Amino acid sequence: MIYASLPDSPGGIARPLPFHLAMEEHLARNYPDGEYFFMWQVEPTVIFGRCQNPFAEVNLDFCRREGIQTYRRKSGGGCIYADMNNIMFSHVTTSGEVTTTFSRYCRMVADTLRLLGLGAATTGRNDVVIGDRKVSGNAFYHLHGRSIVHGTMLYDADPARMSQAITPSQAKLRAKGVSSVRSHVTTIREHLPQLTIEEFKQFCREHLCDSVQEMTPADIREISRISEEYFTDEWIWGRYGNRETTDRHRIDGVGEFSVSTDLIPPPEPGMAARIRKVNLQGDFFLLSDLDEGLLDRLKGAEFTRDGIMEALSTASPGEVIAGLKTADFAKLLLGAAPAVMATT
Amino acid sequence: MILYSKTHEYIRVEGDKGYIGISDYAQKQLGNVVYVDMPDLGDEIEKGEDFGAIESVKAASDLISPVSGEVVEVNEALSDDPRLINADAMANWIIAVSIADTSDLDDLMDQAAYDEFCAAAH
Repeated sequence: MIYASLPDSPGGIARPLPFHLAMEEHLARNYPDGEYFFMWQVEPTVIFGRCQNPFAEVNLDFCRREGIQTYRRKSGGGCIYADMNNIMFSHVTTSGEVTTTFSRYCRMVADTLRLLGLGAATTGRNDVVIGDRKVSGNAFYHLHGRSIVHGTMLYDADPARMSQAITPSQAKLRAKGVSSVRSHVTTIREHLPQLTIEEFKQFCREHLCDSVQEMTPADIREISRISEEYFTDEWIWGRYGNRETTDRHRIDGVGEFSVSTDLIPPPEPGMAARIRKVNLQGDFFLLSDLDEGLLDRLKGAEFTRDGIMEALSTASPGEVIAGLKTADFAKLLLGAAPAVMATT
Repeated sequence: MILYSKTHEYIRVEGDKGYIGISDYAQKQLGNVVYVDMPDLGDEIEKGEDFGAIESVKAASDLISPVSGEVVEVNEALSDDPRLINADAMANWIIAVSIADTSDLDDLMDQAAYDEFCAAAH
């Protein structure tokens, strides 16, 4: 395999995730022959799968507070949290047959770890495990005659932070899209505390690759061009309207609600989404105009508990829907509601 | 008339309308489909460009349009049950387009040529 080598970025600052995903695409599109491999790291970033709804899968509030970047990739699967202690492996191949390509790649990764004395194995879910814990998760993206297989390799991790970032603050919205499967993880460092991250990368590179392709300034210009798409709101927050979520809840004494919420994506990473429109249907008892009394007031409000409470501060939900309280309604909108919610 | 592209999409041509989906071969390759990302009605799509994506338990794959034209129908049933594609990929088309230029069909394969193409891939 050929190692695709990238000069250090100016100032030694880690390049953002889109650059590396664009580098995979560049190799796939413009280097039609040969099998390529490269490794990269990013500052704290949550990456969701091609068809995921980030509002339902990611704790966007937490990411905003912690300065964690959020991007969408083109491969399938669930969302992940990555930081400089996680090494991303990218593999670009001409092989198009999904099952074979995937299992061959995962076996190759597991074999590399076994050479270090680790009890690594592959699983049916495209993961590499040590014992019964996941150390690497992989995803697949198929484009014109070429395949990209890429995945995580946890050198070290902070599982609490990881799980906080990729657990939505609201209990799961039943959104259309692909859900994440959560796993217990382990790390290379847990098993090999003496091995530094650079030594580990060096080992993988030497074991997996026998030649090098240096990325030229022209390559880097093309990669930057390809990466632009990954930075757009349209790409990150959903091209085909999948930020709209629908959920059904019951509030005892009030009725059953089917709520659909259409959100405006945050204008920049680190800010809150806003409500474009909310629709309510259900068997509740309506006392006055629903739009005027309740739903219109939410337009433009921040999609957070505080934002909703503020938008409704002068509303009287109980005069619009019999028995409805503001706090319960906010919870309902945020999807915090369990299937049955008591009015307290 | 059903024609196929090298990227395993089919187009069933009925008058100036074409129903686009993925082939049975592609469906088998992908395995269980979990989501189909589709364009909106009225979107203009271009031959050779992606108009959406299909994700299975194994992979995400671009959907590449075999022709240029306007999206005139979207198979909404797939958003509730994407596995219809596994059940019958040929019956469960993804979108219908009004074909802007029938010469777009010239480089597509008929059933016999496509079967040969798939056999050669193995």
